[in-house]
Amino acid sequence: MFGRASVFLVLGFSGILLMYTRNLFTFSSDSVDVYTQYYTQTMSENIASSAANLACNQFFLSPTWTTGYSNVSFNGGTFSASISNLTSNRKKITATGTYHGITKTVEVILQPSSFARFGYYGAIMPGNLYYVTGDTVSGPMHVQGKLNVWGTPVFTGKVTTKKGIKKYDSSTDPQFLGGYESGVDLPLPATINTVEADAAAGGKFFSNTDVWLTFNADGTVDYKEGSSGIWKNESLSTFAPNGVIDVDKGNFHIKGTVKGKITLGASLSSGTSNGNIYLDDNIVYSTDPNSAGCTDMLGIVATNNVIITDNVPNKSDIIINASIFSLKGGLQAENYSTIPNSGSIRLTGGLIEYQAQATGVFNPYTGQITNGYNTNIHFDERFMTQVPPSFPKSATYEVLSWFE
Amino acid sequence: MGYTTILDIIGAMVIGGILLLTLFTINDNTVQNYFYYNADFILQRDLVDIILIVEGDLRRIGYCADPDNLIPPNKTILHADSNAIAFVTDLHKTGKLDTIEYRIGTPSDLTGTPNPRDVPLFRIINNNSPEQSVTGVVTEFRLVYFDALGDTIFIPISAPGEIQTMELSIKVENAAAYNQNYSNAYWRQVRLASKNLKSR
Repeated sequence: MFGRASVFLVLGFSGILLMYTRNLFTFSSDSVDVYTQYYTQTMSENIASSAANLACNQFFLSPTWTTGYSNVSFNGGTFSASISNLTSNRKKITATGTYHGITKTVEVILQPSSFARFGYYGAIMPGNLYYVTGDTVSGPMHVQGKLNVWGTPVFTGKVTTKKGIKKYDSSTDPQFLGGYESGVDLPLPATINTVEADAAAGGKFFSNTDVWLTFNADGTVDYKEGSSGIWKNESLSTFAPNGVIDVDKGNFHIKGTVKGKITLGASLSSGTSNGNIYLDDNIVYSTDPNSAGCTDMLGIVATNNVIITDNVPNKSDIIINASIFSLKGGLQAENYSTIPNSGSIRLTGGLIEYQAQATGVFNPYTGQITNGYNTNIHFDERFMTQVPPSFPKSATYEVLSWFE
Repeated sequence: MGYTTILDIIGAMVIGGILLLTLFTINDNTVQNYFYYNADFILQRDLVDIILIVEGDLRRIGYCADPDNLIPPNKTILHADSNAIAFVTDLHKTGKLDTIEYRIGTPSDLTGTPNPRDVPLFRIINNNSPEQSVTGVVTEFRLVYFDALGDTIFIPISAPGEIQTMELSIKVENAAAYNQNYSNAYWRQVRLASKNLKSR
C-alpha cells in the first residue's frame, strides 16, 4: 500500500512540477515573443524606410521615374513603392515593407527644390572675399564653388559647396552648426522665364517700360508705367491674381508694405540697363515675419541686379523683407563708394545671387563702414517649407515631409 | 513499544521534516520564480508598448499631412530637457498640427505602487491635463540630444532647433518586489531621428 502511495506521491509531484515548469516556459517564451514582435515591426519599418529611400534616389536621379517597385525581396522581407502626383507639382512616394506578415508604410512628399530655401546662395565666390571671425550666416547656404573662410565664422544652417572649403590658414576653424557637405552641384537656372510666363498667364505683365510699385498695407498697390506715368491704385488680388508681377525689358522701382504672397520678376534684358529691381525705400511685410501669424511673402527676382537706390529715404538703414534672387548679378548699393555711411541693410529673407556685389566701403584700420551699408541678413525660416509664387526652382526635388 | 518503534517514529519524523522543508523550499522557489517570470513578461510587454508609442511619435516630429501647414524644421521641437520633450506633429494625419509633450511625474503621483522609483510617463497632447495623459509607468526616461555634427547638446537647451538626433533610454521596474528585488527591463535607442528635422 505504501509503495503504491509513494508512486502516486512521486507522480503527483512530478505532475505539479511539470505544470509549473511549463508555465515558466510559457512566460519565458511569451517574453521572447514580445520582443520578437517588436523586432518584426522594426524590421518591417526599416524595410519600408529603405524602399522609400531607394525610390527617392531613383526619383532624384530621374524626375520622370514613375515605375515604382513591386514585391522586391529585401533583407528577409519584401517591399513595394509607388509614386503619385499631388498639387503644386509635388510628388508622393508611398513605400510598404513587409516582414513576417507585418506591413508598415512610409509616405514621403517631395517638391521641386526652390532657391528660396537658402539663406544665402552664391554661384561665384570671388577669391578675395572671405567669411571671417564675427560673420554669422543664418539659414541654409550653398556656394557653387569654393567657400572662403578665415578664422571662426559661424554658419547656423546646413552649408553645401560644390568644390569644398578654402581656409585662409591652418588655424581657421569655421563653425558649421547645421552641418557641412561638399560635392553638391546646384547651378542657377539658365533663365527666369517661368516668372515671366506665370505673370503673363495669371498675374501682371509689363513690357518695354520701367514700372514703379508702392505696396500698401491694405493689400493694394499703387503703380505707374514710366517715370512720367500716372499713378493708379488697385487691389493686389485683381492686379495680379496669382501673385506674380513681371516686367520684360524694363526695371522695377519698389517700396512699401506687402500684404499677401507676391513675386516680382524683372526678366529679359539685353544688357545691364534693364532686368534690375530698385529698392527705393523699405519693403516690408504687413506682419512681422518673425511672428507666428505672418503669411506675407515677397520674392524679388531679377535677371541682373537688385539695387538699393541712392536716395534720401535709404540714407538711414533699409529694411527688406524678401527672398532676393539675382540671376546674373547680386544685391548692390547704388553709388556705394560715394554715398555716406547709410547704416545697415537689414534683410529678413534670403539672398540668392550670382556673385556678391559691393554695398559699402570700410576702413581697413577701424573695420568701420565709411560709405554705403553694413549687411545684416536673417533667414526667414518660413521659406524652408513655403516659398513665394513662381520663385525660381532648381532641376531637382527635395523631401518636404516624411511619415513613418 | 520497543526501541525499534521509537526509532521508526523518530526516523519518520526526520524524513518527514526533511520532506516538509524541501516542500517549503520548493514552494518558496516556485512562487519566487513564478513571480519573476511573470513580472518579466509583464515588464517587457509594458516596455514594448511604451517604446512603440514613444518611438513612433518621435520619428514623426515635424510631420504634417498637409504640406501647406508644415512649419520650419527648426521650430518643430518646442522644448527639450533631459527627461522631457515637447514637439509639433500631425498626430492623426488630419493635416493639422498637434503638440505632444512627454515628461515624467514624481513618485508621489503614483500612490498605488510600492516601488519608490515608479513615476508616471505623461504623453500630453494639445495641452490636455496630465491626469488624462499617463502613457505608462517608468523608473527612467532619459533623453540626450545631438546637433547636426553629432555633438552632444548640453542641458539646458536654449536652441532646440539645433537638435538633429537624440538618444532615448527607458527603464521600467516591477511595481512590487519579491524579497526587495525589483525586476527591471531597459531599452535604449542610441540615435533616434525624425527625417523631418533633416530638411534644413
